[in-house]
Amino acid sequence: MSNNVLEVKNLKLHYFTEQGVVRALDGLTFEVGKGETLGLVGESGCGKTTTGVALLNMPSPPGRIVEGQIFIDGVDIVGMNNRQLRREVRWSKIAMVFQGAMNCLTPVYTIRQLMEETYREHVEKYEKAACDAAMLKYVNMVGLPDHILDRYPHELSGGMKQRVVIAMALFLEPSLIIMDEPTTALDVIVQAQILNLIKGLKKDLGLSYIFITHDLATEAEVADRIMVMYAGKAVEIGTNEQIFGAQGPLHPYTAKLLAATPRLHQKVDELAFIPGSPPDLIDPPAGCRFAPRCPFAKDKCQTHEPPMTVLGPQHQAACWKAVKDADYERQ
Amino acid sequence: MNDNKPHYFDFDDEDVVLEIINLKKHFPIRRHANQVIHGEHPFVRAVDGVSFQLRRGEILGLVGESGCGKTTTGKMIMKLLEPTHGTIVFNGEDVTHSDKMNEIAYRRRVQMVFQDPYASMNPRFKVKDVLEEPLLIHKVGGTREERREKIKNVMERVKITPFEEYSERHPHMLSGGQRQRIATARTLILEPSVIVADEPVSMIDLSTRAEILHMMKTVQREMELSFLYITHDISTARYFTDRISVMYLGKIMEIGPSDSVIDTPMHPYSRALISAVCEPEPGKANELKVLPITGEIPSAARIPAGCRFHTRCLQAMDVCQVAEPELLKVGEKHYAACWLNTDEETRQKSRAQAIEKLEAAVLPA
Repeated sequence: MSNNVLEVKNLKLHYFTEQGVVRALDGLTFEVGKGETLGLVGESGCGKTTTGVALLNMPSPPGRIVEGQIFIDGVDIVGMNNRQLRREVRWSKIAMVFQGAMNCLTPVYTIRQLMEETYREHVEKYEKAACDAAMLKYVNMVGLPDHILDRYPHELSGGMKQRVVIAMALFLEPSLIIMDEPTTALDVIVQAQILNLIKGLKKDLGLSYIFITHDLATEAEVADRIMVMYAGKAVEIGTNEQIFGAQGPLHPYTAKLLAATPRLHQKVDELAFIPGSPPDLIDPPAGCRFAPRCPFAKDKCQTHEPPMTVLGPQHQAACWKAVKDADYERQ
Repeated sequence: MNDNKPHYFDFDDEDVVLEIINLKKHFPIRRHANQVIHGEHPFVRAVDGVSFQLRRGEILGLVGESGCGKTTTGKMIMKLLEPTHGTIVFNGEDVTHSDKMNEIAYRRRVQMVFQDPYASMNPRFKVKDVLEEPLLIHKVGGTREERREKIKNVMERVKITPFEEYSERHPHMLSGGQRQRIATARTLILEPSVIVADEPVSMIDLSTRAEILHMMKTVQREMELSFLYITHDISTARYFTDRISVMYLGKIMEIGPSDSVIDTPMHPYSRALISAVCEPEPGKANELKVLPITGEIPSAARIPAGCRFHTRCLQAMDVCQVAEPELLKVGEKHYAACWLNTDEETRQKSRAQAIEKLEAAVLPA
């Protein structure tokens, strides 16, 4: 088997609503290597969180995985039933820190009770000693004192709660953790502390992450590779250096998104922005989904959807301009 | 109640539209039994002596972490909260304790844009109703046709066109960015002179955030408005503001032109805040960030003595534990409250004075 903890092939997750089929994920293919952080970035509604939930194979109804495979440590989890998933996959192999999870800790339970619950839910046989040892180990690992276990959520600050949630994701020792906007609701300084923690854990435990955020600047701080999503599809995958380096990204959407990200140490008179809004996923545009908002769109982009094309080592983009398509150049 | 104007008010009176002098807001909290016995009255000192001037046509940023009192300051300026102490001067007139009628007139001139444009709009109103309401409340709209004309103009100003299509929509039929444009239009329709914007873009998607800020800046320049931009995001503040004031635990730590505050911060807290910001640059994924700050923000009910930042400051000295520094000039229109910007002699003297004062308070003569 290869060195990848996760391989996703042509994943499609659709929501079957009364208004029609929302194609929230429409053919995603990517992989995450051991000890690697893959950043998932895009506007709201582009399918970042849906990807995270799909990887745990727990789409919220009326969503369903309609096609594709998800290999975690070489095992396809798409066909598994719920019991199997709970015992063998979720939390033991892949865990997720949900967006805003720190504000969803049940207020009437202590941190110890909350963590115990996770343990009982996902481990075949509950052993108190093993559970206690694991709790202490991971609570300390995220930089919290022992007595935190007997505190209630309201007694903790935002940063501490986020640490607790990370400890809860860690403590059944998964090899891959999905972090969905783990720092968005936090203050800048706390955010930087949490990012340091996440990076430190990766180094110490050899973890892999999928780091979901809407903010490219945060992604630059943590991700080894970045996957940019737009309207349910990946539009560009590249390394940190390829996306943020001097050469710059290949896809116009990534470039626009980067230009819209404010930089502290660079005074600009005008920030760029992307006019318009993302397309309706019930009836997405026929050609490139970004074409209606793209300054470089030509006739070909309106009618033909560009495929994901390898354009360099570890660098892929889905854009007719980037691949220097002959028809596109002629128009 | 008459506080003197602080020494760092260096703008001329006719140039200034809004002036805040030593503004404080203390919220009482429930007392423990022994506090009742000892006659103690504990407070959360949310805002603890804030002073600044807002010039005509200027955008001033109020930057800080949650709990630093920036929103409370904004609410006091909007007269949504009664200050515990201090003065608000608007166009040369003291409006701190004005009566109901004056308050309504004042609110017409000083308007607010809220963080969540969806929560701050009546979902049953159409866009035209949302925009008409302020005109009706303040009785400034004139006839129905005049009001319609005003609504149309203001919608064009914030670039929500065509009027016929959008004026009939409900808030839920608009995108987040459009909603915030309507929220801005609702304040502009009264032709105010000051707008207090509390985190106006923090709930908006990154791709449209810049668009909204750009729109606000354009309107601000066209209408020569003064803006108080309250935010936790120092990177948008750099783009949007002329001056920045950095707040910590209810006080201003540093205030000055945005460029000089960000390029040459003179307070350790500003430095920590700036170093914590993520920048979209390559090659940082595998190294930890060095943060020149320790610990967590203390509770506003137990503000540390001396410099309120000393418990987290890596450069704290003896003097910092006992004496609170004042805002001192560190550059052109740039002030910071830190003992590091003074010389050793001043520090020794201030420390001795502070200790003397403390002893006098503890040991009655």
